[in-house]
Amino acid sequence: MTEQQIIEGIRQGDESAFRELVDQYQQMVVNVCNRFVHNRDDALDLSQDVFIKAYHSIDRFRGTSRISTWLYRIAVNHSLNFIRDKKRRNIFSSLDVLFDHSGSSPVERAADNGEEAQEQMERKENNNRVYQALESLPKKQRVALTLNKLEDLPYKQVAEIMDISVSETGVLINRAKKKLQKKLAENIKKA
Amino acid sequence: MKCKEIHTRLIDYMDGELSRDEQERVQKHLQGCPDCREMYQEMAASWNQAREDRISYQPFYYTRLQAKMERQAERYSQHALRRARTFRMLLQPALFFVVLGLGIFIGIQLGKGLGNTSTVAAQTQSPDYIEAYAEDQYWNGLKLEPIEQEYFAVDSAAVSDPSQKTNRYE
Ligand SMILES: [Zn+2]
Repeated sequence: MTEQQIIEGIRQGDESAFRELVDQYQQMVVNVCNRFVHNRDDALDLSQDVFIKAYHSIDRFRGTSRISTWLYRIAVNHSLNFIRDKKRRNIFSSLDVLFDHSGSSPVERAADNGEEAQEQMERKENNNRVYQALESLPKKQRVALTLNKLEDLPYKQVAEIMDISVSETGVLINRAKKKLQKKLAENIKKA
Repeated sequence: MKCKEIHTRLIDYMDGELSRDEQERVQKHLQGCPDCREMYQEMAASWNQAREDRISYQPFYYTRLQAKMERQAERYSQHALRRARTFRMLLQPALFFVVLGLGIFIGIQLGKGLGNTSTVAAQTQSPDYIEAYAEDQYWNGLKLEPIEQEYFAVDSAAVSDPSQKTNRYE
């Protein structure tokens, strides 16, 4: 199936067309999510939401860009939202520990914490130094550098995904690279 | 070049993205400086590890996705059904009075020898619009991702308004 056939098929409710889309772009979407959330299970969950979103908003796909660009864009958005929400959740859960209104006994609380710790262990982020350094970059620099250097996308496609000009993309990537190298060097020296 | 300058060029060096001249200078420095060599090795290891952190093709991915979509659709349809019920509960009494009022109005009009009631009757008999409303609510409930994304939209605002001194490359 060509891209056009896939899109038309999905619009007309042809399940095999959607299946084809998912099969073709599964790895791409899963991996770009993983580039941002740095956790395999989260990336797999999140990537499914990306396909669901694509399915329900297929009529918004104007066909002026490639499917991959469109999916990348949804995936980056979803990932950034996920990170933001996760940060919020973490703040609230640490507040919960500070102001424990649950009224449960210390033993129960300890059990709860144990489960939580277990869950956290399972969903532990990949603590690669590059990933840690990337997390310290401003959001747009991080997106541009991740897509260009880790996903190997050319400037032109990064520009399309981020809806900015190619020259702007170049500036973002150069700044990001400088910061990343500096941060990495600092982290390595500290260790 | 000083060690510090070397440190901020190592990834570019690894990827061969420096000018030929710089590439050579970094190489020379690394040969003569064990500290920078160690730094280079650490950085290269992390960099390659990050690049190779890939999730392979998942054979049951589509089946799982389908299951998730079915669960969601079911939740939404239950939700829509509840809405439709509430809507019917509120709408039916209201409709009763509207029909009553219309009846009186038409009666008066008829008394004057005017009007045709058949279209009104046809409209009030069919509950299709309730279904239509429920369906509409269902689709509205699925809030679609704004593809013109919020993160990047901020930037174009800054571009169009030069008085905003936000750094567009941050
Ligand atoms: Zn040195």
